Amino acid sequence: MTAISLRDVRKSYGGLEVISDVDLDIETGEFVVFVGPSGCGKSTLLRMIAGLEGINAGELLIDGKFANDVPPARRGIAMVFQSYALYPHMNVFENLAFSLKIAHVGKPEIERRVQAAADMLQLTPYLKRRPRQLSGGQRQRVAIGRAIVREAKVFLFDEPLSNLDAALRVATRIEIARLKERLADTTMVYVTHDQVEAMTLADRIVVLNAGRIEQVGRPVDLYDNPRNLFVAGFIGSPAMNFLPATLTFENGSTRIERNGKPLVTTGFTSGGRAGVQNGTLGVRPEHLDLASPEAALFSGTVDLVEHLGEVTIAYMRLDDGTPMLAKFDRTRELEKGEILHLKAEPSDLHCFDADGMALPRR
Amino acid sequence: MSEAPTQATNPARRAGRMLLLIAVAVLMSYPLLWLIASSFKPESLIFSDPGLIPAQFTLANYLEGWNRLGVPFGIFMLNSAVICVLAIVGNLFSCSVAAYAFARLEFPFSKLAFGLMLLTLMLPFHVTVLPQYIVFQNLGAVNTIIPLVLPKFFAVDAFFIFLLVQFIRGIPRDLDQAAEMDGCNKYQIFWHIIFPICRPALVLVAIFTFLWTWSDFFSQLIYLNQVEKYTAPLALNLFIDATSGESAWGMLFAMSVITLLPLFILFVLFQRQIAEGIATTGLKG
Repeated sequence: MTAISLRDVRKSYGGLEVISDVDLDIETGEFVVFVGPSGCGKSTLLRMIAGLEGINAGELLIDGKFANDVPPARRGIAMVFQSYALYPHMNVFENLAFSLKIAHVGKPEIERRVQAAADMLQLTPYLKRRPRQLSGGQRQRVAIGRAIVREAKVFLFDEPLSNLDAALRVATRIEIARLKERLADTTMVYVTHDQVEAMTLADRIVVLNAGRIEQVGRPVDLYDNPRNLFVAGFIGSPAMNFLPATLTFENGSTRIERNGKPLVTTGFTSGGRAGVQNGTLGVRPEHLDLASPEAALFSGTVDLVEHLGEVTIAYMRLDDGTPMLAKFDRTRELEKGEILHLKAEPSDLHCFDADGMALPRR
Repeated sequence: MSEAPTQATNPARRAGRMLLLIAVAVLMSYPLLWLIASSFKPESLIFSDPGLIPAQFTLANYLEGWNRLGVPFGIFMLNSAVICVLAIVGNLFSCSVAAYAFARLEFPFSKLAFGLMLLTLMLPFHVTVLPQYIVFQNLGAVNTIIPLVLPKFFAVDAFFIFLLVQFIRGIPRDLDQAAEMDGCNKYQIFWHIIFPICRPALVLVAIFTFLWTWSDFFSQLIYLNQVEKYTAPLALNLFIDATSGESAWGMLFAMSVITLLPLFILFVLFQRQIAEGIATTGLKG
């Protein structure tokens, strides 16, 4: 069943369109992550679903019902704010109980629901404390608890981990993943600019850029088959290497040349294109491997080496000046100035046409 | 890294600075100290023995002064207190509601209205007092406390509104939106979220309303004209040119001390907030 549908939704401030033509269906119980660079409109889109921002055009359906004008509280949606937005003058219990109090829920029922949420989030010892007496992680849990208490069908998370330090961020991420297991019927929409959060939590990722959806798909699909240059560069860390290449489309297939040398002659169809284009070849740093000079696809000089413990990242410059990153496990000692010859499996190469769209594989 | 503090705490300099501060403090508070000292002196000694330590100690000024005006002085204190309490209640609610509207709601001409409200800050009270008096006279409200109290329920103190607007603007909007998601309408957001969070600013509003109302003389003088309805400052005035032709200075001083007591207690209790309030507002106080 579809929990939330966006149909050709738009939003603009004055003349500036911040959300354009967004079409998206979110299934009941699904965990969908909106990801994209700052200013891409992901938070705005979330707040439009919440009802905190108006919708200029298009339709928002919640449970199949037209919901553009439904006030936020009646949408059956709970939201966890980036700043937590805990009421500073209320203790944890009162914070959790507030929405129920406003809805005139009976005292015993409030007690029961708050207690259940507090147990689930290990907040019971802190119920009498004020938010300012809590640590960042505890505040975060109270914010999530506020959503749980309402027994909302949809949870919205607006960059909930961005105010936490690195260690706590990982711990809370795991807690959210557990929460997702426990509340399997609850639809969750999560906004982040952190692709690790997106990759680990999401059932499906929506990549947004400049107010448009670039691609929607399962995390691995986005990683394996990015639809265009933007998604290819955004998903994966360190980012995919992009190298200029000349593409020749012939008889339904694509020939790739770099600096006049043919590179891969099979693997990509032309997708109906013809002629010659200046395209881009993409290869992820983790897919590069050392090769003999004869078998090498790329050769370059090491500029800088980063040791991250389990892996080593080499910043290289290819013969034609293009920068390239390669990721190795630490068994290989690298030195600055060293010349490396690299290869990659043909199936790990990505090819994009002059418009930045990925070429289909055979 | 230097281990010694950058400013040397030379004991001699320290003592010198303390001495200077004490001297200035004594100078500033001398009139008050003299008032208190004189209130315990017999009438005849007040001007002939102007020292701070009374040669003769007496409580007669207090005992006599309390009932001198035909009405116990406590009644005047009570009248003042009633006006103060009502003014505080009125200001707390009306100014915070008005400030919430200016800070959070969008309504037609809200910016213009805000500007006009700020303009009234620059309008001296004495300009409006005459038309105001005529209005209240036509309403038959002169010689009641209504003219002194009723306006406070209509957010007339632009200064407090401005103070609260600034405070509310500092409250993250996320809280409003979280409350909205929790099912609050605008009134509930104000009542459950904004109003309680404004407490530090509201304490300031209450304190200053009290200070200004308690020591107000002019508006109380023009609206109240029956001795039983007089407030403490008006009653004090009666001691000066009493019909007998001579002023009862000793009793005046004694009753002044009593009138100052609530202010003094308030200062001790809320010293920090008052100092902060004056520092942050930089206006009268």
